[in-house]
Amino acid sequence: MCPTPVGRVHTRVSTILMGPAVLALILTLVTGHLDWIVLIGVYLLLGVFLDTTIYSWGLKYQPPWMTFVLGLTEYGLLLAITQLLEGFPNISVLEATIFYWVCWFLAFAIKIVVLPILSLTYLESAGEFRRIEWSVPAQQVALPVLASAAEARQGPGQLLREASGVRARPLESLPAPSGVRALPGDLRK
Amino acid sequence: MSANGHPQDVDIGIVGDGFGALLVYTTAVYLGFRPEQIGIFGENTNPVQTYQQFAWNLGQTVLRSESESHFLPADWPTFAQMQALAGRDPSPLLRSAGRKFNPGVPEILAEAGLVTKALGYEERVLGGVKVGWIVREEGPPAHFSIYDEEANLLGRAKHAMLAIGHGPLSFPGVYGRAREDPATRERVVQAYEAKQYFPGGRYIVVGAGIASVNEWVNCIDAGAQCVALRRNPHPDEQDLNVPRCLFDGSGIDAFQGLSFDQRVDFIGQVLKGTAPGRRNWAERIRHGQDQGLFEEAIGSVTDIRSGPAGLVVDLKPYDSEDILTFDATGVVCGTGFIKSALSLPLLRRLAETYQVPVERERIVLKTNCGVPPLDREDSRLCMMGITANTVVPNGDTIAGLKYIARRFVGDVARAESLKVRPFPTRLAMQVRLARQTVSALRQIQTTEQLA
Repeated sequence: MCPTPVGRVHTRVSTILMGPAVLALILTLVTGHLDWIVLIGVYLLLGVFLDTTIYSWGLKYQPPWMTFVLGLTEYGLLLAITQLLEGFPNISVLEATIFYWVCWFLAFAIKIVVLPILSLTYLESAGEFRRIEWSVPAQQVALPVLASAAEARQGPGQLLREASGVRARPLESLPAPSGVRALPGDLRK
Repeated sequence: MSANGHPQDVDIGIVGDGFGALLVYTTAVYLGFRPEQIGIFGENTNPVQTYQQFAWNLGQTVLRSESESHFLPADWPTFAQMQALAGRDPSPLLRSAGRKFNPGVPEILAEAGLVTKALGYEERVLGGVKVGWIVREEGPPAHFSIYDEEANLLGRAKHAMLAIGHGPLSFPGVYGRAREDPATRERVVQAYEAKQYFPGGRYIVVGAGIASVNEWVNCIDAGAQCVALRRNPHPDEQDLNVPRCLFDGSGIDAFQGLSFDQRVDFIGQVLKGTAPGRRNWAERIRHGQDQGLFEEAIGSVTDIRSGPAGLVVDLKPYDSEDILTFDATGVVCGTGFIKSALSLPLLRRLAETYQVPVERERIVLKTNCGVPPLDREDSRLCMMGITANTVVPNGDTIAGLKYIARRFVGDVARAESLKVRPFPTRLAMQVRLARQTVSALRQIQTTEQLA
C-alpha cells in the first residue's frame, strides 16, 4: 500500500479506538488504575506523530512486512517514553510489553479484517476512509524507472549472426506455429 | 431479453460479459442491490471464458496481479490468506508480505466460477447476444435502451456500464501485412492465439511484456530457438501493468490531475513493454541462452516473406543501418490488443450517433469514467477496462476494474437511494464466499509461484 498522511492517521486512530482502547478501558475499569488507558493514549499520540512526520516522509510505499518492523520500532520508542515519564507505577515493564503486543496484534487484525469490510474502498484509497467516490486531483507520485541502453549498443548476438548473412546455417522447414486453423498431424506437410 | 425472450427493465445494465461485468455485479449485490435489479447484456454466462482461452493460449499459469486482486467483493481476505488456509501452509502469506505472491490462474478462475454461481450471476445474463446499440431515452425516468446487432430490444437500464473489454488483437505494421499474405499468414501468430512450437525451429517473439516473456519460455521449453525482439531498449522491470503507487487512491488522484493529453502520453510510457522478473523464467531463459536457444535482439523487422524454412525475415538492428536477413519458422507477436476505441463497433456507433468526443483514438471520458455527453448523475453511462485507462491507469487489471466498479455502483446507489447492506451482513456474505473459495482451493493442485 502507498498510504497518504491522511490515510495513516485514519488507520492509526480507527484501529486503536476500535480495539486497543476498548481493551485498555476494560483493564482500567477492572484494575482501577488509569495506567492502561493512559498508555494507549501515549501510544496513539506517538503513532500519529510518527505517521504525520517520519513515515509519510520516509515511506511512500509501505510493503506488508514493514508493518511488523514499524511495530517493533514503536515498541522501543514507547518503552523509552514511558521510562522517561515515570508515570506508570502500577504496570511493570513486562506487563506493559505483553499489553503492547496484544494491542498491536489486535490493531493489526482490525486493519486487515475489519477496515476493508467497513469501508469498501479503504485499501485502494491509500488507507483513507473515503465515501465511495471518484478521486480528486492531488499530488504527483514519483515513478520508478530502470533504464539501460547498454545492451542495445552491443548489437546482434551470436544466434542472429549465425542465422543471417552469407554463411547462415540452413533452417529445417517445419509446420506453421498457428493453432488457429491447426491441421491434424498426419495432414501436415 | 430474458430467457423467455421478453426485454427486461433493470436499474443497472452491464454491457459485456467478462471480468468487469462480474466485478460490477458482485459489488452491486454486496452493497445491497437485488440480483433482479441488475442485468448483464452479453453472450456468455461464464465471465471467465474469454480470459481462460487467452491464458491457455499464452500458457499463463499465474496472474501478474497480486494478492488483493481477486473476485470477492471486499478486500479481506486476500487471495494469499485464502490460499494459506486452504493449503494449511503459511508460505503464501510470507510471499505476499514480500510482494512475491501472484494468484494461480486455475485458482483465481475457480474463485470467479464460485462467486458467479453463489451470487446468481448466470441467471442475470439477459439476451445471450452481443450488444450492438445503446440509445439514450430521456424518460422520465432517463434510461438507456439496449439493442443487439440486429436491432432487437434486449432491455432497458437506468444506469449502464460498458465493460466490453479489449479491441481485436494487434498486428502492427509489417506483421499485419504478413498476416494478410496467404503465403505467410499461418506463420505469424499472436501470443494470445493458439499456437505450437516445434523443436529445431526458430521463432521471433516480438515484444517484452508479460505475454512475450511467457512465449520466450514456451519456445525454449519446446527446444526451439527464440529471438526475443523488441523495439524499445529501455523496458521497465515492473511486476504490475503500471507503477505500484498508481494502484492507490493517491496515485490515481495524481493521474487524474493531468490533462487528457498528458494522461494519454503517460500511459503510453508506463504501459510499454514492462518485463516482469520471474525466478523460474529467468532460470529457464538463462538455460536457453547457454544452449544457444535464446537471444534478445533490439530492432525492427522490416520485411517478412515466405522462404524455404517457412519465413525469411529482414531485421534492422537498433541504431544501425544494416539489415540482417535470416530464416525463421514463425513470428509470435506479443503486441497485445488494438487500443483504439474505434476498433469496437459499439463505441464507434456511440461516437457517431451522440458526438461522443474522441481524441487520439480514445474516448475522452469524464474523470468519473462517464461517457460524455450521455452520462448524467441520475442515469450514469460509464466505461471500464482498457478503454477507461485514461482515467484509471490500471483500468484493465482486476484491481482497476474493481476500482471503477465500486465507484460506479456507489454513484448508482446514491442515485437510487439504496439502503446499503449493513456491516454484519456484508461481513457474513464475505466470510461465506471466502469459506467456499477455501473449500474450492483445496480441490485444486496449487500452481507453482514464479516470482
